[in-house]
Amino acid sequence: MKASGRRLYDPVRRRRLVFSSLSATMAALALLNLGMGAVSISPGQVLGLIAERTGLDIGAEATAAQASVLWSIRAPRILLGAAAGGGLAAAGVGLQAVFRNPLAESQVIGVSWGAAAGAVIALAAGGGGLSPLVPPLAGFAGGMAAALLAYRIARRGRRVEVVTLILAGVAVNAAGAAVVGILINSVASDRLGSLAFWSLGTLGRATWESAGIVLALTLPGLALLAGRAGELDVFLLGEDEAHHLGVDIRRVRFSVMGAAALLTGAAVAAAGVIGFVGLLAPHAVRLVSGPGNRRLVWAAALAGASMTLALDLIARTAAAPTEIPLGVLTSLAGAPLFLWLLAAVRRARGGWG
Amino acid sequence: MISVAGLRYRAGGRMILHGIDLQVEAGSLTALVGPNGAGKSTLMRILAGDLTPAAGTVRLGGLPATGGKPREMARVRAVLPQTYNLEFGFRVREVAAMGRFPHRGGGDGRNDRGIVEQVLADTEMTELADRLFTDLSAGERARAMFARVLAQQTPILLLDEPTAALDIRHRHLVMGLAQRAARRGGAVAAVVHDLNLAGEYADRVGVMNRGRMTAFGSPAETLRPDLLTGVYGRRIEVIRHPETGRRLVVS
Repeated sequence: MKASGRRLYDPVRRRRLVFSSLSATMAALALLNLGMGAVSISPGQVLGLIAERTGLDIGAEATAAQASVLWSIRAPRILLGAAAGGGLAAAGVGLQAVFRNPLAESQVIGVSWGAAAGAVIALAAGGGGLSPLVPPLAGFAGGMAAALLAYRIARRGRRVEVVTLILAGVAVNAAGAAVVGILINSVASDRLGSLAFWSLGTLGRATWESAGIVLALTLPGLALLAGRAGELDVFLLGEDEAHHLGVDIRRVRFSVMGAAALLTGAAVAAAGVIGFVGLLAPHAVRLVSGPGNRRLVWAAALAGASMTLALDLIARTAAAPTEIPLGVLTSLAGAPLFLWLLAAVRRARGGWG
Repeated sequence: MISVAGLRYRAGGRMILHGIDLQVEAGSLTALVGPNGAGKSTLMRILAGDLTPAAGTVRLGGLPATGGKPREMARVRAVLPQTYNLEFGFRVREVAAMGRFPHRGGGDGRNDRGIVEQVLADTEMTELADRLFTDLSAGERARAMFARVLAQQTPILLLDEPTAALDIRHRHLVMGLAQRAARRGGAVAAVVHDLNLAGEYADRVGVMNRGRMTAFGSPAETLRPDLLTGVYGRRIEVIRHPETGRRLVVS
């Protein structure tokens, strides 16, 4: 009995398969994104241009215009998409664990628009010489404030009420979006002019600098969550149970919310509000490899990056020459899942009482 | 090993526990019985460190129940709560392995794995070890949670209604395992509603009523018809089993 159970559920093999297929998917989507768009670059030319950078000449000729599009527009956009999508997915993993709630996600509970408000306030208040690090850190502060507010409102004893959490998220999102809207419309400057499109979620403003900053903030955020993964597993049993098992629940809660706010703040400051990635990616991965957070943090990050790259490809090409805001597409994909989860959670709890 | 003195607890302006004293020595199992609302679960939650008392001292293995380092406490006492809701689809083996968390931070070590397989076998959960916790029946979930508690391998066990959801076979299995933990030098406190189970497995029985410890002593001293009839407000008799002579509580 024991042996057959092991074979059916061989965690090591399954883990390797999940990670290798997710990495391959992400790499394939990155290559597709490099080639496709208004300026078409064939797969051979893409590989040729990449080989050229590493000093190899494999003979696939590309024009200077193609090289420029690939290196200064598409490559940083892909880096930003992967970093932001991966970070948002991992943030969802962390929030779902500390709130013990499959519906928790940066946009759902208000962290995203809190971060957007923080970033826009920093942009509006700062002069032309604002350090590019300030908006993401202001986004972190706004996101953290939103997460703490949602927690304070939704917490009752040692339980977090689902409905209250979501309603608190609605209110925080409304307030954050209002702040963003007011600032975009009243500070009629060139600096904020393009922010109307940004606020809908887009990778279109990517530069090597902005993508690099998001990556630099995302990696420590991911590492922090991965370091807490064992504690997050225990957290899913319940706050009391986690405490009985030796978890310092306040510290874990605070640091995980902080990591989620950092990941969301960085993504939002560079790419606007890209909702539901933190819901879609973790749940897709859980279906395959289970709820254990050790694997989930990294696997969901890879899935979130892949998902973002896939949807951005659609955003850029489906309605060319105009671009569909990426956030609109992630919402389109995420809203049905959210509704399904809502129904499933209500069924599991036998109502909202 | 469990030491409670002068414990008072107040909630919502109402006194829930009025001065409880309780000693559970190493090597013994104490059953807490009494009607609903007597304060048994509140007492257990205070022992577990979930609630902070208004007055009195609570010490577990020499350490105060609240305010200590969580990990240190988790190596001293394990807690089986009365209710639990785990909505994420962990497998039974993964749930049991969570009991190893205070010792290693996970349950990946060879030693941990052996302990996890042992507690799964002890609780008769080996065959269900690869099933999802969320797919189990209430009784199976209770055993999975009990396996998790045993995997923690602490000297003190705090069990709030460990047998409530179980069939008659598994009630005896779980109480037998709790008794074995006590015999190995541990101290076990368990809330039990089945007075016959309490009488069979407990070394000491604490009868609680309206926030007070009405009686405390051996099963023979506490499971008396007059006492129980008064506490439960229903005529209760204690008869002898015709063959074994064991005391049976009937009502």
